[in-house]
Amino acid sequence: MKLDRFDILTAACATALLLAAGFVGTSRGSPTPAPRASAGSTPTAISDLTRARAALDAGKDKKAIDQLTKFLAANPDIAEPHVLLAKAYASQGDYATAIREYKTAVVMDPEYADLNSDKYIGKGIKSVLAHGWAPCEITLNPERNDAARAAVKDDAAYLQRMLAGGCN
Amino acid sequence: METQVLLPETESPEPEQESWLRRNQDWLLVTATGLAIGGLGVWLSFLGNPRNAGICISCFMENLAGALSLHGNARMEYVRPELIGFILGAAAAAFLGREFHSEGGSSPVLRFLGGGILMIGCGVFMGCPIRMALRLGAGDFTAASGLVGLVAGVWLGFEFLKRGFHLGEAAPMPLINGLILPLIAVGTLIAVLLKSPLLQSSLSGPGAERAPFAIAIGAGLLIGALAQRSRFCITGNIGNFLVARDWRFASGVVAMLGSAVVVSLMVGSFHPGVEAQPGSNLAYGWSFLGMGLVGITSVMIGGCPFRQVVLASQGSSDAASAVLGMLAGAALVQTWNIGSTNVGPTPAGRISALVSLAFILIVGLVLRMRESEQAA
Repeated sequence: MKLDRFDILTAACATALLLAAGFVGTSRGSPTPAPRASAGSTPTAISDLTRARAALDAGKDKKAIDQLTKFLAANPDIAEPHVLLAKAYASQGDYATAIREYKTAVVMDPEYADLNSDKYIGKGIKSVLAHGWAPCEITLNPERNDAARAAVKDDAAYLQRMLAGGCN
Repeated sequence: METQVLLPETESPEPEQESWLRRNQDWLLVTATGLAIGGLGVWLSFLGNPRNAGICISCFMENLAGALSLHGNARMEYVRPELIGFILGAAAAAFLGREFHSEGGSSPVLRFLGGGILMIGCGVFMGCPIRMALRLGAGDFTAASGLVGLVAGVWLGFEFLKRGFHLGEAAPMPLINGLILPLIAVGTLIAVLLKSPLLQSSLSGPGAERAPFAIAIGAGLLIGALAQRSRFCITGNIGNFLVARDWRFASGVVAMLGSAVVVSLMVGSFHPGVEAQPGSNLAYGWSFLGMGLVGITSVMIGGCPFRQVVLASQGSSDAASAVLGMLAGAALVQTWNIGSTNVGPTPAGRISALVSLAFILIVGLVLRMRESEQAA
């Protein structure tokens, strides 16, 4: 069996691809959407979340943020508290964190960005994206905090793509 | 033939015109198919299908796999009428044109795997080659890296073909083998019409975004019939152009892109740029690799995902193996999170794409070497 240059090059490429696959397999990649979970898996969780919602409705953003942060420490796989947190931060004018929380919620449960879903929160997200970017630019001084600024920009771009629809 | 001999050539200009049409009918038919796919693809999105995915074989396969409960993503469950239309339209055109040939036996297992790998490549890119064209047509420039990858993959595939790669000859088979896929399509259509509880259907998500049933199946029938008559194949079009350097061979792809742009402009869905594009991400390298994988695999198994569906509908059991592989692959893309998201490719997608590409290169190498051994 006679091997020519094309054979050797092909074999080398295949080996390199397998090695690269092994490398990718052992390194961290983009986040995979976590399994979707509905809010309140236990009665305590339901009441915690209800209290946080009530605080948010009453305009007590700080209290709501505290309660939601505690809740998420115990229930990290639930998407809804992230939506509530985003609303609370947006209400406080912290648009950068609001965008991050909205993104976390949509990554965990794409239904939040689905126009046909009961969970759709596109209006809130669009409002933050429309009114929030300028304050973000001021808060995240590009010279001082470029990485944070880029992260918010990435999150905002992700949310825009999700709201645009598509087949994924 | 006899009549043509008896008629003097200069008697009327009509024979000359007829001969021009006849001479050019192949690429004219391919162009018409490209126009229909591009235009109807955008229109179906306008009527309710997911944005920039009015026609997408990989998305349709993922929807079908979900409808058959082959994966657990409740947002991707629907028997797309377009897919049934493609199969039945192509089968009908093949019967009417006496081109229905039941044949097979050319490396069916490799073709099954090839079909699965096509879905992995499409999953990493976020769409099949048709969706790539629809994305580009709607101004989504993030899909451009996929186009470059597809061309590169097709070029590499043709390099393998030039060097003796071959999956083996197909042989005639009993008629029932070729009829199986069209019969499954008829059965599925009946099940859909009877609202069978065996078929799942999304209540939200892309699976719930639908064009009206009658229009969807009508568009599918038309495109299926046209594609069967014209032998439309995106990777074949690109490959023939690369080999012959004749623009007429790329007419189908150019027409598809052109009509997608025009209809997108007409319905107001043309939004040029890279931001806020539906079903896209900015991982250009992985998009390139995903479509490259689709390109090389398509050439090796004899057609792009859409062409496999059409070939299977006109009696090719080999293509039917690929289509079943595509269905299995579509289920795995969802179950293993291989498909890219708007964030970018997933770890499973990256690994699958790299391993699949390595596998395809090894298959190309092995089957090519066997060929050279035979020649020796």
